[in-house]
Amino acid sequence: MKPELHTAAMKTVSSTQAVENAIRVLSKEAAGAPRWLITVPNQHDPSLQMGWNMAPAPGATGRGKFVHQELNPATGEKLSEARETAGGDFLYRLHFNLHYLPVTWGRWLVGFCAMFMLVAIISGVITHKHIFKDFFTFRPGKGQRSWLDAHSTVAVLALPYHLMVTYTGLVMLMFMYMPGGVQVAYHGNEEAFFAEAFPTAENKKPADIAAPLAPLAPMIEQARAHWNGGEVHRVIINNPGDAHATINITRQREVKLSSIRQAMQFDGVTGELIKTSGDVSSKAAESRGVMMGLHLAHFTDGWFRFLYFLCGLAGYAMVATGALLWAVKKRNEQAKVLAKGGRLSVGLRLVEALNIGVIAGLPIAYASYFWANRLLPVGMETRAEAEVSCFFIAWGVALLLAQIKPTRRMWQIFLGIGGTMFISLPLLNVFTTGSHLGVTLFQGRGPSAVAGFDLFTLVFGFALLYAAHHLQKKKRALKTRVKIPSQPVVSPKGHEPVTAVASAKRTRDDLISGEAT
Amino acid sequence: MLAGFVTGLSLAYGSWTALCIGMDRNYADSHGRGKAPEEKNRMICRLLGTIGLLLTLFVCVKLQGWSVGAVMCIGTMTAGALLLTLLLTYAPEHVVSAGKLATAVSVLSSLLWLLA
Repeated sequence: MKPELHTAAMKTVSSTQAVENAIRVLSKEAAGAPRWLITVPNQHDPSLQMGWNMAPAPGATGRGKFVHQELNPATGEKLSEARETAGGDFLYRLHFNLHYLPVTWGRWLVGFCAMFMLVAIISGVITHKHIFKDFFTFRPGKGQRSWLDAHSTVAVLALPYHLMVTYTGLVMLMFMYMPGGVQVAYHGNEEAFFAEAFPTAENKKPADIAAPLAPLAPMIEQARAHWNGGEVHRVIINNPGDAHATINITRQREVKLSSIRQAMQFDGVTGELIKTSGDVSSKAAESRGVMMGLHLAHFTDGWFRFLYFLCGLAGYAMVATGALLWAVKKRNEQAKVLAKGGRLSVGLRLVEALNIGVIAGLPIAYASYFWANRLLPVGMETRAEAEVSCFFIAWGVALLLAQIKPTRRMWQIFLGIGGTMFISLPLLNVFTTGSHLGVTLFQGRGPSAVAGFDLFTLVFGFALLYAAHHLQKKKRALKTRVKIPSQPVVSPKGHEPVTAVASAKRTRDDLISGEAT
Repeated sequence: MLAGFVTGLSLAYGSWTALCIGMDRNYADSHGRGKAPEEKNRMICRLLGTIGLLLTLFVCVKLQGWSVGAVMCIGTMTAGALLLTLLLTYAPEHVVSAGKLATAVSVLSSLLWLLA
C-alpha cells in the first residue's frame, strides 16, 4: 500500500551492501542510540527498513521511543516520500488485537471467540449427517436447504484448514490464555520459563567506553556459511559504538513448517561469534513452532500461498452462510406469524440486520480503507490513523443503516456499493499511482503482487455486483409468483399447500426483509 | 513451480471427479436422473480416484518436501474439490469431460514440469 516503493521493488541488491548502506546512515543519524535495527529487503517488502531506539527518558523503564525509516537499499537514500500508512499491518493486527481497545482485552475477546469457533467446528462435524454422501452437493434455489448445502460444502471441503487455523490461532496465544502450567512449574517466574523455552541471545548493559563497531560484512559471510547459504533477514545492533556492543543476525525463513528461525550473535567490537540459536530446538519447542508456522504460512510463496487465501475465503463463506442459514430457518419458523401480519421476533430482526451490516457492510469498510489509502493527502498529519478511521466509520455507518432498515433492498444497496468501490480501485490507481494495472500487468513490469491485488479487487467487485443483481432477479421472480393467482404454492415446510393469496402475503413479507432464498 | 502446481491441482480435480462419479447421487446428476453406475465401473472410478489423490500427495511432496508438501496437498485437494462442486452444481453434464480434460492437463503439465 505504498505505491512510491513499487519501482524500488524491481532493483535487487546484495544484503551485505544493503546492511552497509543502513549502517552508514545510522552512524550519522543515530549515533549514541542504544539499539539499531535493520531489516533486509525481501520480496514482500522491497525497501530497506531500519530504525533505532532513542535512549529512554530519565527514570523511565524499558526501551525508548522507536524511530523508523525506509531507505533505498541500493543507495541508502531516504525514501521519505513514501506515504504514511498502516497498510496490511492494520488488517493483520485487527485480526488478533482488534482496535480502539487495550491489546490485552482485544486478545482475550478474540481468544474467547476462537474457542467458540473451535467448539462450533467440532460440533458441526458431529451434527452433519452425510459428510461423504453430501461431499460435493450444492443444490441452489431451494431456500433453507441451499443455505445448509452451501454451509456444509465450504465447511467440509476446507475442514482441515478451518480446524488448523482455529486451533493454531489459540496455540499462538496459549501462554496468555492458559498461564497456569507455567505459573506452577516455575513458581510464578514466567520470565525464567521464556528464557529456558525460547533461548535468545542476551544483551549486555553498555560499558560506557567508546569502541568502534566491527565491520559487518565478515559476520554476514560467516552467518551465511553457517546456514548453508541462507540469507539474512534482520540485523540488530545493541549498544553500537560501545565496548559492549553485540550484533544479532536472524536468518530469512526457509521452506520448513516450523516458525523457529536460526540466529547468530556476534561481539560488536571484535567481530567474534558469541552464540548461535535455533539450530537444534527441543521437540516441544519445535511442535509449537510448527503450529505457529502452519498459522503464519511463511513457509511458502506464490501459488501455494494462494491456496491459504482460497481456504480463508471458504472460511468467510462458512461463517456467512451459517449466519444466514440461522436467520432463514428462524424466518421459516415464524412464517405463520408473519402470514397473519405479525412482526418478526426481536432476536431475528437483530440478527438479520447484523448479517447485512457484517456480510455486506464489511466489504464496504475494506474498500473504504483502500480508497482512503489512495486519496488522503500524502503529507497529512496522523495519516495512518485517518485511514483506519475511514475503515471504522464506513463500517459503523453500514451497521447502523442496516439496523434501521434491515431489508432486501439494503442488501442490494450495500452489495452494489461494495462491488462498485472494489471495481473502481484499479481505476483509481491509474489516477493516483504510477503502478496501476497498465504498468504492472500490460507492460509486465510488476510487482506481480500489486497486479494480483488489483485483479482480485476486480473479481471480488464483480462477484458482489453479481450478488446484488441476483437479488434483483429473485425479487422479480417473487413478484411474478405473486401475480399468478391460480397456482398453488407449497408452504416453506412443505406440509400443507396454502392458497396463493395467503402465500402472496407471505412472499411480500419476505420481500420486506428476507435473505436470498 | 507453476507447472508443478498445475499438475497437482488438475490431478486432484480429476481424482475428485472419478470419486464423485463413483457415488450414486452424483452419477445421477451428471448422467441423468435415476441412472446408477454399474458395480464394476463404480469400483474402477473409486480406485482411480484414490490412486489419483495419492499421486497428488506425491506431486506436492516432490515440489515442497514432506512437511510443507503434505500441508500443500491438503490445500490443493480443497481447491480441486471446491471447483468440482461448482461445476457439478451449474454444469453437471460437463463433469465427466472436464474430469478427463483435467487429467490430460495434469499429464501434460507434469511433463513440462519434470522435463524443464
